[in-house]
Amino acid sequence: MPDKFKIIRYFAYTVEILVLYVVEQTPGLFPELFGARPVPVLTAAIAVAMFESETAGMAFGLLAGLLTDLGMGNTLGFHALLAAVFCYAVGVMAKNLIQTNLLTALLLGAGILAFVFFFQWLFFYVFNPHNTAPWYALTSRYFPRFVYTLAFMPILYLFNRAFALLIRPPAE
Amino acid sequence: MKDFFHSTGFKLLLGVVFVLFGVLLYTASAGGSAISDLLGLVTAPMQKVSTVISNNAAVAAEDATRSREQLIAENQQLRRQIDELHTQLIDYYQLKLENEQFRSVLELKNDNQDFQFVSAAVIGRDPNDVFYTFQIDKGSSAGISVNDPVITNSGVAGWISSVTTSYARVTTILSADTSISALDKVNRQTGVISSNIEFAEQGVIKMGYLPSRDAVQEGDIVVTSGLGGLYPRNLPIGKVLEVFPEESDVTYYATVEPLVDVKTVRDVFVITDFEGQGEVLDDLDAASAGEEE
Repeated sequence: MPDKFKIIRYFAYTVEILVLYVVEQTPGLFPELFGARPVPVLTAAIAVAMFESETAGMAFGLLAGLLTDLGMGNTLGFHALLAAVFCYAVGVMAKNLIQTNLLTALLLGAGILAFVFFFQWLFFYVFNPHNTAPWYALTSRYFPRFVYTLAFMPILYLFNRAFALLIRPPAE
Repeated sequence: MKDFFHSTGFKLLLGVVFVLFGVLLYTASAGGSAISDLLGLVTAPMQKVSTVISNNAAVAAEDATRSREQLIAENQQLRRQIDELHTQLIDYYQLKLENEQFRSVLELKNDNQDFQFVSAAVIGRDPNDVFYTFQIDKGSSAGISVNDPVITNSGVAGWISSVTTSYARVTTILSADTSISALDKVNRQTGVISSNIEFAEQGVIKMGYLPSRDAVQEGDIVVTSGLGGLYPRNLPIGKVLEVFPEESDVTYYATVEPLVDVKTVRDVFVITDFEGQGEVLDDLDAASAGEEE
């Protein structure tokens, strides 16, 4: 018999990621800081992956990445691929290598988001022949976006930790 | 470690990576997919509702957060405006039709009978884009296709860069991917409108390939020239700010302040058809097909 708590938990994560996607895409909801707006949907996927199995983490990374691809409208699969692999790795590390706490969440989040935004800059900005001043773009747009997105980690970590602890069978 | 590579989870990850890589290659070459369409069908209505709520909340919040002094000052100002409006009301009905003719984009159609418009609302702004690309709530089902010009009452806002059944994405005039053949309305000097990240950050665009510093003057209005077949002619683009020499060659460029603030625009019109649309593109396609043969 499938674990009904797990189904409810996964449903809650899915709704969370969808709501965050809609909120981040809605004009004017998140104020611009240094010309940047956050991408909390990726932060949420990393936070979820810390509390679930590696395959579940991968699935939520996949969802968050697909939504990010959809928002960008360029190449479907780019962020999905990165987020799925990174969230799988987070799941494995959280189970075998590291303690799950706010500090590790921040460090993992910083590393993964730095990778994702760096690749985003490389593939979508530097490799576009129309674009100029790549270093300026990296420092003035992508770096503030990275910091702004990472700033969501504490709240999303605590939020998903609450989900993971509260929506479980009492015996666990 | 050996167990890890033989685990079901790792095999699943490899499968997912393989499939996603295929999707990535497919969408990179084909430019769209059924998955985008499917996800768009789910997310576009949610974004539409969210944007409406957000806009209404912003208006409500604006009223709620004002101080008493601000409200009194606004009240006095509004009373003065009412007095002024009373005096203007005498001419109002006579001027109404004429005024609307100049101010409404629908009247543009009177001068351009060949234009076909689709009105659309902005439902999303992607935080990952550096050039203020936005999504609108109409797609191919409304007759919109890639490269269609996007305008507002004030002028050119951008062009359709991708389209699905239910929504479309607009690349703005601030984008480095935008290139518009333009004309100075005062002295008929032609140039090419483009941008880069530094101009985009300042909210201005560049009119390049000018032969001299005096080719355009500060305050001149720049419009589309119609060359290229992507934009109809005479759509307002912006106002000339300053002229500078190019660093890389002997030409000059002018900074142009767009008439449309693409960072905050909420409602747009897409020109789905006009006389001469895509003529050059068709010629280029025919030429490249001829070369291949």
